Amino acid sequence: MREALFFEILKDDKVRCDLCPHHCVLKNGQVGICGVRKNIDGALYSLNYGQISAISMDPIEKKPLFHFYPGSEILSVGSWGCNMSCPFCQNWEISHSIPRVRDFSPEQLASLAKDHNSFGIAYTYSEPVVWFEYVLDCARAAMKDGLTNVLVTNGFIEEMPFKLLTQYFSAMNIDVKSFNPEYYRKVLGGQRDVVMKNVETAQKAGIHVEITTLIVPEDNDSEDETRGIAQWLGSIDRSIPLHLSRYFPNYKYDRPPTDLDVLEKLWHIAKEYLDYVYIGNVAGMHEDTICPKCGKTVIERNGYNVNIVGLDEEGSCTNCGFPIAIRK
Amino acid sequence: MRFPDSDKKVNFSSLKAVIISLSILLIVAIVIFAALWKKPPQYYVQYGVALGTNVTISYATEKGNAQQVVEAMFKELDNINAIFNPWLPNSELYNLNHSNGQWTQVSPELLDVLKYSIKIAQETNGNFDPTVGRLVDLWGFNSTDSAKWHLPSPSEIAAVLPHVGYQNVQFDGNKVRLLNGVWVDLGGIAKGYAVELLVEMAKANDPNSTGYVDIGGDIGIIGPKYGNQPWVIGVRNPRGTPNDALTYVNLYKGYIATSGDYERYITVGGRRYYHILNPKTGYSDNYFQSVTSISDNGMLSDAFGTAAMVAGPNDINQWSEIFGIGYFAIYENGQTQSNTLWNEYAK
Repeated sequence: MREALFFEILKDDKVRCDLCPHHCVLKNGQVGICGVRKNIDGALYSLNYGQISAISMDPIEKKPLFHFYPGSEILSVGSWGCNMSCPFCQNWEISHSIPRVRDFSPEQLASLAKDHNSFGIAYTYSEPVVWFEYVLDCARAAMKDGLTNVLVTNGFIEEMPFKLLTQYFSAMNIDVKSFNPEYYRKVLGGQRDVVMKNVETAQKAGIHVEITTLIVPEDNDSEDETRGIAQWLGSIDRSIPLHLSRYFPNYKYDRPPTDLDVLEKLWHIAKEYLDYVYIGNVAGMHEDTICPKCGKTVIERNGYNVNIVGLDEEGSCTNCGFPIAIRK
Repeated sequence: MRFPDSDKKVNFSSLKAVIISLSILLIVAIVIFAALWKKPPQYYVQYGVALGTNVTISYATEKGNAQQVVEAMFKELDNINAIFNPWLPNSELYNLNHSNGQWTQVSPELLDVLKYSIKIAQETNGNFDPTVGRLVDLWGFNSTDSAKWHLPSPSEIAAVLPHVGYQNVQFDGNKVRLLNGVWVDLGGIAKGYAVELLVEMAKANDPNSTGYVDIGGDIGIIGPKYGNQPWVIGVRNPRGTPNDALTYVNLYKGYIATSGDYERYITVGGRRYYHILNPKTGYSDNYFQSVTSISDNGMLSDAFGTAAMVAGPNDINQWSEIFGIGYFAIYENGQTQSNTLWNEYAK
């Protein structure tokens, strides 16, 4: 446990958390919507500081990040808690309940990453923005050790703390879960425009950004919605990779998995506006990176098996010289 | 039977073999080490004077063209001056200020900065106002010659105030019209614009390049020092020497700028008057000695300090939240105030 950043002390021992746009006003003893920030005697504390529920060396492609150190493994850690309430949550065991945890100091975590020859640390699995203080301290410790920081997030965080994170991160995968603001608010418990603004902020800060949209049948699988997301992303930069991921029944949803024909159709729509569109959670379906200029495959993927077949040292297509948006 | 000599010979051969093996191993180790060891980047540093202030650019790129890029950056500063210097006859802004209220076609660069400055003016309730040109001219603060800085009479100020006000700037496509004889002075924002433009130039040359651009204390980070270390930037004590820092921040990215009362000022009757003028009163205010701000936008960092120096402490927290800015303010009595974002940058 650690005293939190970004909160305001109100009257009668109440506090208002300013970390995310919920701005929970908490009486003494109350916990915020995220489940991990608590008012204790008139101050706000992060309950999950230093607590790690899952830790593993993962392929970077699992985040998913397809254009960042392709084929590398990264030490990946998660805690518990989330500030959104997606009824199809694919990680609900750690996002919406309290799992078993182990404690690591930021320095221990950075040292662990180096011991495993990881090029960095990915904060993932649960929602890292509500693990804010620990993520920040670890990111600083990692930078001091020459490591890279990666954030896998719902992007639902206030502008000021998000800008602070952008100082220390090299790559982010941000969920844009829908293009429908009402759905975002009522069903997911978030705000679309906040997420969109944070995507733009991250991109402007020079962070390598990739976007994931979980395509949930009946909820966000319309052509218009994918078109909206792709069109908006393309207006920022058409080289931002978009991952359209297949939904599987989880948590409160028992609808069948997303139809593959629907995913195929949405992939074609997104490709009108973006250079790199991938299908997630389906082996062998639009996983490869194709040069947008000459159409040659530059990275072959089969699950987490990655084979770089057409990139030169500068990250350009060996066939036509087109600069593929790859960071390494 | 064994011969002592032959024994010696065998021993000598073994020793030779060991030495040769060790030498080969050493050479292999050196080759591997040389292949794996990455030399820290060499920074090409150039100092100069541009936009009426001191400029330092420190730049490292593996492309090997740091010097050419930095020289191109200094040339770009000359272009910026030719657009944005309102006191340089025939600069684009000079011509706009002397266009007698006529619709005037302007360059995309000037249009962008003008529009952004009007947006900041609106969002800070006019405390930042780019139309203070005639006031700045009246006080003489547009000159680098301190002999020209003087306290105008109240009637002189009263005569100029009607010719100040951002509402007098009108846009129509790529045309701009200045009403009521206002003069635009983008001094509160142009350095920030220039810093960001130069940082973008450096990144366009090599996205992995590192370094910083410093134009008169407006600093933009191109990339972390040696690729992963922060640049440590001090906040000057306004009442101390230029190297006397009150606090430091560690920046990997972003833009930091300071507005202060210590660069261009006069003291009359024991009161300090400086170059950041309140567009409503015509005088400088005495809330802060300086305000330093950090954001992801060069123009915003630059303009925020100007607005805060004018508006005082009442609005600074609210604005910092609206704009997502970390700030460090030094009050006139020497007390300091900062927000969470700044405090975290200082760690």
